[in-house]
Amino acid sequence: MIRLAIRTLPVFAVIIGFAMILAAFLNFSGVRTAYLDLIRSRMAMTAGAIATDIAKASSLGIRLPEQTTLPDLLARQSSAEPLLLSIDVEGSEGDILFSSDPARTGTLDDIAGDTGAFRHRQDVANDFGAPVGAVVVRLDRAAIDATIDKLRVDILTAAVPAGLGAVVAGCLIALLLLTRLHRIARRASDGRAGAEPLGSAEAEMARLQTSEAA
Amino acid sequence: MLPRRTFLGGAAGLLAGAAVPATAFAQARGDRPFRIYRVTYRGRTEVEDGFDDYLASNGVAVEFIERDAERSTARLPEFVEEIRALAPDLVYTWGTSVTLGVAGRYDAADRSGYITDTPVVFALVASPLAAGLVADLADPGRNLTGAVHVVPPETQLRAMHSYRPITRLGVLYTSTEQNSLSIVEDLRRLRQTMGFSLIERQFRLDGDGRPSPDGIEELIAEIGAEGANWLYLLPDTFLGTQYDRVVPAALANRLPTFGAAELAIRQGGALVGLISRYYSVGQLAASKAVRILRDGASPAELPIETLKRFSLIINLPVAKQLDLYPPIEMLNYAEVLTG
Amino acid sequence: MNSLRIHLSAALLGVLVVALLLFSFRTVDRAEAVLQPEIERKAAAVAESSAALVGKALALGIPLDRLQGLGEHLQRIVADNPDIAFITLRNSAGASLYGSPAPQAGADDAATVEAPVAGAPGGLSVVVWLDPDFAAEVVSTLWIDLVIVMFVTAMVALELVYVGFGAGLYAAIEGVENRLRSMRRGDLRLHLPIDAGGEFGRLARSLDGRLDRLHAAYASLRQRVVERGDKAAQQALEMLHARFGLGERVIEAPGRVIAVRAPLFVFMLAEELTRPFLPGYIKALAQPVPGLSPEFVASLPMVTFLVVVAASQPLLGGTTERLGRRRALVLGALLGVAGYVASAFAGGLLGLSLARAVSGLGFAMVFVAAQGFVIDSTNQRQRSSGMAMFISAILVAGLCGPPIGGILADRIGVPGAFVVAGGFAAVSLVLACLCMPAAEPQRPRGPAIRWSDFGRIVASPSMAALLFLCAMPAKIILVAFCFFLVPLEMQALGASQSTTGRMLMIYPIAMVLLVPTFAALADRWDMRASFVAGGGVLAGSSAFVLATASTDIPVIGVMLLGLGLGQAISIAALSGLVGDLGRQLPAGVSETSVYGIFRLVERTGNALGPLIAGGLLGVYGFSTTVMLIGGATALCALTFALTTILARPANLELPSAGS
Repeated sequence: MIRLAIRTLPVFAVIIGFAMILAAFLNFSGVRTAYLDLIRSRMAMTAGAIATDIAKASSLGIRLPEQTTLPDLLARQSSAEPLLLSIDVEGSEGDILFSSDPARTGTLDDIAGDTGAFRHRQDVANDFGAPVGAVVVRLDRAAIDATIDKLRVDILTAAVPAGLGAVVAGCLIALLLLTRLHRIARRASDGRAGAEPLGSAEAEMARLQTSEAA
Repeated sequence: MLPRRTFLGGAAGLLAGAAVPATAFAQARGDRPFRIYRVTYRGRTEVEDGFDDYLASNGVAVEFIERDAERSTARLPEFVEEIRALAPDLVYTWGTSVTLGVAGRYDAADRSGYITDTPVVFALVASPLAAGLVADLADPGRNLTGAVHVVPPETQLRAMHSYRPITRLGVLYTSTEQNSLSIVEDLRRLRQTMGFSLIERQFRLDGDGRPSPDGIEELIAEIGAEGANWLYLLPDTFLGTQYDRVVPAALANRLPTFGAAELAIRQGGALVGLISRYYSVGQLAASKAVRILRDGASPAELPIETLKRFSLIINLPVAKQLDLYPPIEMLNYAEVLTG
Repeated sequence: MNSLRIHLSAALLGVLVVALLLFSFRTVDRAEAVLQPEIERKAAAVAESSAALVGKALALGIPLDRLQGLGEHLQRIVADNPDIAFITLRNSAGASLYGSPAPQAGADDAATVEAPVAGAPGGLSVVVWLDPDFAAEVVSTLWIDLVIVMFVTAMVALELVYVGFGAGLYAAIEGVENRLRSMRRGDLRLHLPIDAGGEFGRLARSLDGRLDRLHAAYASLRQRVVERGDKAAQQALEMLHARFGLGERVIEAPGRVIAVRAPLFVFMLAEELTRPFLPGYIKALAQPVPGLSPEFVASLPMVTFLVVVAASQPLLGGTTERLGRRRALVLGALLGVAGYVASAFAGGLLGLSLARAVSGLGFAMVFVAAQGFVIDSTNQRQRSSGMAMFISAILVAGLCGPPIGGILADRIGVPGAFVVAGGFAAVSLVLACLCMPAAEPQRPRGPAIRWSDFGRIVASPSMAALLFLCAMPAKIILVAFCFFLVPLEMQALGASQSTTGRMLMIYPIAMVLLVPTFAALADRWDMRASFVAGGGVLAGSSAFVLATASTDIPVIGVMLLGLGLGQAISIAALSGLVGDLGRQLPAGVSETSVYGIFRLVERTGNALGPLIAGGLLGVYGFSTTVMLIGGATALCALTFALTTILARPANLELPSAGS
């Protein structure tokens, strides 16, 4: 029986453990997605509002580089966002025309190198659908990552006791079931289950053999 | 930005009479700056700032001979004489009347009183065709080119509409200006699609068939009485000289005005304007000057270009007077004049 | 049904569900603590941005009662943001000046966010009321996620039980159970010997020993009695035989088949992982080809995969037999690893198509080897339960793969997800080596598919109608919708890969839950043809929900549910009907040939699916393409129904009545 336990219980533990790890990963993913979706929706709202104003101005023939009211608008919108690095307005070539961060104005937006930022980009088109430029909202990725890391730790810590409990309970039940089957089977193979059909068949057979021999 | 003051200093020196010996050929001379004879209509404006900055940023060194017509055409023949005497590399003219006075109509019978050989670059002429400066914008065919600033009427109306929906649109224009007639024609066409009605009035003409300022107040009052809720100040040359009478009359009738030229809103007191910035017009004109001076291009072959960069400007003191404030979202993309 | 496996699975499930529930409650608790501030922060951003605008207007000297268009501005914010219930500009007395009036009593408990208007006299502020329904919806969406996670986790755990116990131990435990169960019933027939070691193996052998001794005694006694002609003793023995089945053997359930389940499941999971993100990935890689729409180009690598699968399957039967099923499965898994990893690093459409072709060959090899293994390991009477196990492994993989794949793609990107798929294929390879017996039982082979039969099968009008009006369209619509159009459209609608993955669960869930029921009903009511036609019409018509509403995610869900329901009704009946009609064919056409050609027609449909969908999508867009394909499928099913009615009763319903 010990060998059986050694053979089966680790398997059970591994299965339950794996399932809990999978569940923890998927749970964490779900919360992370929900969290990032909320942040994205906030960024989309900010970018969308600015893009609407740009498109409105463009429809009046005011070209994007001439929309000199934008710095003021960007400043107002950026004061409402605590995680903000910058709100940029880019021309169609990716050149930053206006930015809430004055140091970025006039530079080229380096998307690949912008690893410290969590970005949302909203393209702006004119009345004819031709691209005019884009609004890019950049948040502090480190702050977002910190929240996500904390979330990961929280969820994984919660998974550990639940997982351990499940492993123990699962192994106990499995052991119980296997032991029960094992006991029944051994009794049956030992022939101790006399009242059962096999016993009665053997008895009957023995009786017939005896009477035949007689 | 730095070199501009130096140019102005040079120009001031010229005005003091320290004239440089005339040279007949407008060619690059390495050490010596180009000389530009500049005629303005009402003193220095942002057009000249844009013009000077553009030259400076393109590394073209120039000296200016500055002359101002002081809102009159009286001194223009005198300037033409002086241009002939000084023989500058290029002549710059501001506005339709100055340009006409210096360069004349392309089809004028007698062109002896005009500059016909030195290149002339103009700025702020609303319609060179209507003014008779050239026969074809793409191919001027004479010693004249420049920058036009026109915002399409449809875009103007759209801006007007988003400030306050247009129901009845009043216009006052000069019946002898071809340019104005064609704009009014556009407005008639737009009545259908944009759903407004049009109230038209023309300036009265004097005995010589020239527009006269007589009765402007009455004409505006008529427009107001007919229920106009906007007065459109279209880019009419004569109207451009009468803002100081037209706009107060409109205000008296509680009629909001919408300007098509920067002057209308900055000095004329219109409520809103969708305008080409004077500074940009100056830059566009300067780009023509650079082609002529540095690259030796002939003005006859340089097409007259239309500026397509506009700004929406709201005159808040006027809004206060009319108690007609802009939609709050417009503050996000309009420039607001508060003073 | 009280076998240990069911007990163990139930116990595992019970323990897992309890643990996962506790864990999920804790997760939701944590999530609320993180998400609620974000919802409020967005409201604060809205309030502050509006307050800044008002502040600017006031600073310019616009009077407070002349803020033109502020009401509309605030209303638009409410309309655009589902998380915001009301927004208003309020003075210090609490009166609402612009925007929606303050909510009535009863909504007081709703959270509000307030932003003062800077520089304004009189304590002006913009107040935003959060919509409590939104926060509730965020949490309920999260719960839906978590329930799906529980489901997927539990399914994976149950599959792992097969892996964990290995074929040998499983066979031993099941063997012991079967012996005990039949003994308890008084069934003392002999069982097939179990060659597994371990305690249960020994137990089984010791039980067999008792039975063997009994049977041996019975046989010798019977012989003696017969020789002597002792009628009375003979009668007594006859009674023993009748009562206990002495002298007979049990027909075993296919225990050995279990060995292939784990590697098969894991390999299928690898392929299913790619479902939600593959079409979008292809589209992103695709370079424009002159004269072809981007959608059509995007369908090409998928077509390559399915064509390779369709074309190679008939040929691989013999190959896997020669190689040995285990070696063939290992080889297939190896091809899979190569194909998935190459897909991750494919630079362009051509490279990806090649990688997918390699994957397709691997997929076909694993599929055929596993199928062959099931056939090898079962006799005629065990075949259907063996195939059921085979199919359930594929279905469960189809159920669990897409949501996991979607999450993976969201988290680590599509190339990373492909690498994980390659990893799964590698695990499948290892499992095949561990679980599957190296030695192959040699069985006499039935006749292979004879191509000459093709003409004879197709010449039967009712069979041709069934194959080309039902079987092929069913596969075309399935592959076109689930594997191609829906993932692309979901991407176009801005859904995450995770959402797409969950969406793709709808079809397999409908299948898993409903196929057994409808299969039983179709047999009981003897209405296979009607089920086939009805299911086809329903599956096809599901497309037309797009005509009734705008295309959004719930509508696509309803469409997939309709497709799943329709195919759940028709799929088992279709397979049965193929057999019924096959028996009506002229003698000499083997059942193997009939089913071989049936599967070939289905796989051709698979390969045509993305081709047709891609071609139409480029021209007509999503909704119209879906409705065209759906309409054509429904029309085919209707035509089939008509031919059935015309042909009745001679051909169709009668045979199944007699069977």
